[in-house]
Amino acid sequence: MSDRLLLNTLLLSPLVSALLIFLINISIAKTKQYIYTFLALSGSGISALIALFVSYYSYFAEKLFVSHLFTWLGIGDFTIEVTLKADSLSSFMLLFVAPVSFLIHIYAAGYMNKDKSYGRFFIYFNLFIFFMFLLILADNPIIMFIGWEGVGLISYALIGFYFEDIKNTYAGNKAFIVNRIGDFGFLSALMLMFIELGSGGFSYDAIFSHLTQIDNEMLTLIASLLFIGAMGKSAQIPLFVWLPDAMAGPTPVSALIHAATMVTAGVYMVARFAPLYNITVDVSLFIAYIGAFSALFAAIVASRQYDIKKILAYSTMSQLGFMFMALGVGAYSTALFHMFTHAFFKAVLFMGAGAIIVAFHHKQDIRQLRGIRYFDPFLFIMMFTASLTISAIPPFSAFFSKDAIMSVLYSSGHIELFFIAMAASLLTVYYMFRMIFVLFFSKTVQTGERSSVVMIYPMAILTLLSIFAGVLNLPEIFGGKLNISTWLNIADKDFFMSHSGEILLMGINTLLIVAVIIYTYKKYAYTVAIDRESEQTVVARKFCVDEMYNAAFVKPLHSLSTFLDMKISNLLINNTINLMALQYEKLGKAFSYFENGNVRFYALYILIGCVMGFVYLYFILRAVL
Amino acid sequence: MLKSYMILSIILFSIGMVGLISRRNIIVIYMSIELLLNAVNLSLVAISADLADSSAQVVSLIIIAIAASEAALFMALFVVLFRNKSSLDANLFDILGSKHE
Amino acid sequence: MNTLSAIIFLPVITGVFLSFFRININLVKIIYMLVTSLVAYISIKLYIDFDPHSSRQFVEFHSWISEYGINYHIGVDGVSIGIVIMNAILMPLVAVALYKQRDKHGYWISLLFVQGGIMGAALSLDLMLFYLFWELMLLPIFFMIGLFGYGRNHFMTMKFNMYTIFGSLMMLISILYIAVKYKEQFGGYSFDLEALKYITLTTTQSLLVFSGFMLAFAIKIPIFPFHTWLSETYESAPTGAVIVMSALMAKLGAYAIWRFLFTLFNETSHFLAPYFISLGLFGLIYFGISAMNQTHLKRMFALSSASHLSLIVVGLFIYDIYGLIGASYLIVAHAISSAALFLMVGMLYERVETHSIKKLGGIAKVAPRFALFFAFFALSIVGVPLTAGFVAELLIILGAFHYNIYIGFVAATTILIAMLFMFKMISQVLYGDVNDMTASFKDLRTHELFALIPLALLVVVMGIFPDYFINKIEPTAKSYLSEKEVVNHDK
Repeated sequence: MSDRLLLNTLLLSPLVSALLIFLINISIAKTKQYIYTFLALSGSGISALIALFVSYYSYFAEKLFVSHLFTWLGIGDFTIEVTLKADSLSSFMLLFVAPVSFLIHIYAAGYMNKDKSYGRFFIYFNLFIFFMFLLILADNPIIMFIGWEGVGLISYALIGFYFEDIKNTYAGNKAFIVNRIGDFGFLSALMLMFIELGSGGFSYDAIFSHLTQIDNEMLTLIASLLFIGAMGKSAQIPLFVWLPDAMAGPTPVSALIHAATMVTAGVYMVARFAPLYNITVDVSLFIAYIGAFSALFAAIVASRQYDIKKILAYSTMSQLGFMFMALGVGAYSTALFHMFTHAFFKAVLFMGAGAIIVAFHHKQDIRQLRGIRYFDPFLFIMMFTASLTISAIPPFSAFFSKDAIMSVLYSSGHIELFFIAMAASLLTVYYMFRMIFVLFFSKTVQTGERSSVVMIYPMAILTLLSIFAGVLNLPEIFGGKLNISTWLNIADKDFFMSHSGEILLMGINTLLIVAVIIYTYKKYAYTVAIDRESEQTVVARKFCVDEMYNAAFVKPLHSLSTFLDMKISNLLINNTINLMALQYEKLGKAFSYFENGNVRFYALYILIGCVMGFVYLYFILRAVL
Repeated sequence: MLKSYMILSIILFSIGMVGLISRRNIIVIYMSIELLLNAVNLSLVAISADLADSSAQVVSLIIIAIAASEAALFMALFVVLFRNKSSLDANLFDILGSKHE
Repeated sequence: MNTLSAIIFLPVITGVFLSFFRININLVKIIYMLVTSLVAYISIKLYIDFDPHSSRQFVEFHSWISEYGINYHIGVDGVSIGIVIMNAILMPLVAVALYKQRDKHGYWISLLFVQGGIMGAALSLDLMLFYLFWELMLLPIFFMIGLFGYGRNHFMTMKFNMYTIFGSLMMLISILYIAVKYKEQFGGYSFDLEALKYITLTTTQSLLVFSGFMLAFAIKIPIFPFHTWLSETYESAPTGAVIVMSALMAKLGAYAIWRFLFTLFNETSHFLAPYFISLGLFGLIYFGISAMNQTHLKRMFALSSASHLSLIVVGLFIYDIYGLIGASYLIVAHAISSAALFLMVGMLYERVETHSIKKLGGIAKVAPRFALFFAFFALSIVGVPLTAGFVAELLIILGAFHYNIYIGFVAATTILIAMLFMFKMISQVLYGDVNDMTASFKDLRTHELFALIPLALLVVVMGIFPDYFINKIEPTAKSYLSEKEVVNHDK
């Protein structure tokens, strides 16, 4: 099978299925739900299959898939081709994005069952993965930017999906707006890059080969601006405020977009631009610090949240912080590996939350959802496993990925990062198990509807993956060969840490984690401690960040707008012009006294005119004669 | 000789002009207009006599004829205007002026 | 008969014919549809046949008042083709969407005259002819707003016309001045663009004449601070007039800058470019922020139009290949999006009799198709990728960065400006719950769909395959750039 056919089908099948669902949706009023399901699932299923195929070949045969579609834009030096390229980084991304998307599609078919906007949901869902694939497979940053903004757009549509409640649409607005602020930085960086480098073509290869031509200051600027884009997309400080609100969307949306795909676009972008970030070490360090603070901040806030999805949202932000910490110190493959494992366990957690929400008729506060262990034990096992994974307990997959990050941070020479990461990591354990114990280990018992098979099976697959995926990148201590890292072949920095040091680190880590679990168990399992926590503490109110943004940006803009429109446009300019017009009117009135309709005055004017004419003539004639 | 005729003509013309502007009665205004025309007639005849060219006299005759028809017109005008306002004061006929907009 | 004359005079002659014969209103609408569709068909064929590599095509020259050098000289090149095609396409669609309303003859006759006027203005290569058509397209708008408008329409139509004609008067003075100068320097009168390129003016003279022209265009577009007529005029105007004003006439001002100022006053344009770029950028941000707190739909869109038009001006004055092509692309892209949006506002008004954002809500629940198109066009103004607006803004931002990095950053804020007001507006109008005003909102009817679908498709196609369209503009833009060193050198 040719490269072109494979890549094109991978990209276009979700688009085609979205279009088909759209056409059917608007033309036929009452379509059977299974038609939509079939179209949607085939759209993403075909892509998933091809993705697996592509990554298989990319890994084992080191094959590079390229597919040139058409010239998007060609003016002079600025030529942008729409070319899809699946190199190792893209194939790696495809490897988890496509199958996870497919599994979440199946889950969503169950979650959105009997919803009246079933068709519309899957149009957006498939469009989303189309844009995500475009982002991953683009071989130049402009096409990637199209995918980047496209996923932002679709996430706006999906977050505000239940638009009858206008607050959901405001959440969607917030997501798009904050994302776009990041995109402003991203676009400026791309433009700057083009200005400096344009004439040699603009694909990634071309850019990186000419990177050294740009002077360092400009490179720093470009790198920081690119990262602003990542800050917006991956919800790091200070552009993270959209992520908690984005939980207003249906849970499959949160699972897909905010766990596995869109938020990881920022990480992908930084990894893709690794050659750039290796040169600009200041910016990389800045990235690491932002990641560190985001991780810690999110973990602190999550420890006092009560909405099940908000806890998971802040958890995502925190885990992304970890990834950025690793990226910042130059360990790109480590970060990507954590992204890989994160997709699995976070998706399980969100899907489980969704199952719980549906089972209990959309109650989302963990204090009202106590004691649900027995109505669906399988669900409980999966959630518990996922929580163990996120806590990085061996031998679950996140243990390998998170510990790799910790080792890298420790040996990077920036020990403060390591300690922040440690604190965030332990807080992660705390808030995750707080949630687990409150939900599942309680004296009161509730029952709800059991989730359908359609929802459970994908969760099961993902749970298994989250347990075992670590095996793909085993570090040397355990006898592995860092398969993924070698495949990715990114310009990682080398880190050296002795084996004994690593084992010591891991041991201490694990002990601390277990200690935190025990503490949390004592505090929250079978107790009512959670009910005593106040909702008014600073932490519980998310450090009032939203209020601060509102006061600092939103309200002043509104006042400025009123000021500009009322005072300047209206009073200043408009009235000035009206005043000038008024003077004309006054002048006209003054002149109108000459025109009083009285014929005698007119005769007088005639006389005056004639006399003046004669006088003038007299002078002319006198001059001539 | 001519000079004195011209001076007379000018005096008559000015009297007519002043009367046209400053009198309020429409009939007096008309009389002033007739005076204007006749002053011009006088000056034309005087020039004709002085230059021994009779074409000026021809013009003068034409003016007399036109003045006569004008008189008829004016008479009609007096009647209509008087019917409208029961007065012949020129100041009262100012509907076309700006006060009434 | 030559194609260009056909598309100029068909609407005008039909308009004249219809004003003299009092026929049934439905027949009037049908004739209107036929004539505008014919014009559209001819224009589309023109567009496809247009070969971008020769400079000007379909040129037609007839002498008219040759003692004074005024000739009927028209022609199309890469710059005007955009406006011609927009004019041609939008007019029939307006009819398709609005034909159930608007039962007055004057409405449709005025639209015909406007179409002819805009075509003529976009195609003329003789200054006097251009002035004629420039004024011609203004008068029918006067009648449309005055007769069929809302609110303070009498006052606003007077104000709008006085203001615009004042600017045009300044332009007339400048035209006459340079014609006289031409006579001084070359012997005979000529108003032809090609001939007038070669006059030489001193710096002060050049500046004065430039400002004369620029005043007319600045008022038309509008550029800050000549914008105060804008919001209220849009608010008082009927839908057809608003569409024409926003989508076509304003862009004509921008086109005229390119056509006349850049050809005749090359050096002065370069000299003054920084001022206009700054003015444009200021206007971009100013209008965008002012639009935030508007509660009247049309006012908000008016200010959004002004914001994008300022961006077009920025693109023009940046004067490199990206800026010029980006500006002409944005002209077309914004014309489609804003025409479609105003059309939908018109449809909305017909259903709920209000333009107030606060009183609307929940339309998506009862009229999903309407909501879809409305949201789509609003987003296309914001410049979402895969729409034409994105390509245009990308190019202009690129040109701005090329010119100067700081200008580039300010220009890049354009992607942030439109969303300030668009999103809240979409939420308040479309989403949330229905209230008694919107509860009986009928969804889009077939004929309205017929009008909107081509526009939506065009936006998407221009966003996905921009190369085809850009290839038509590129050679013309390049030729303007290479003419930099040829003309006026100041004494």
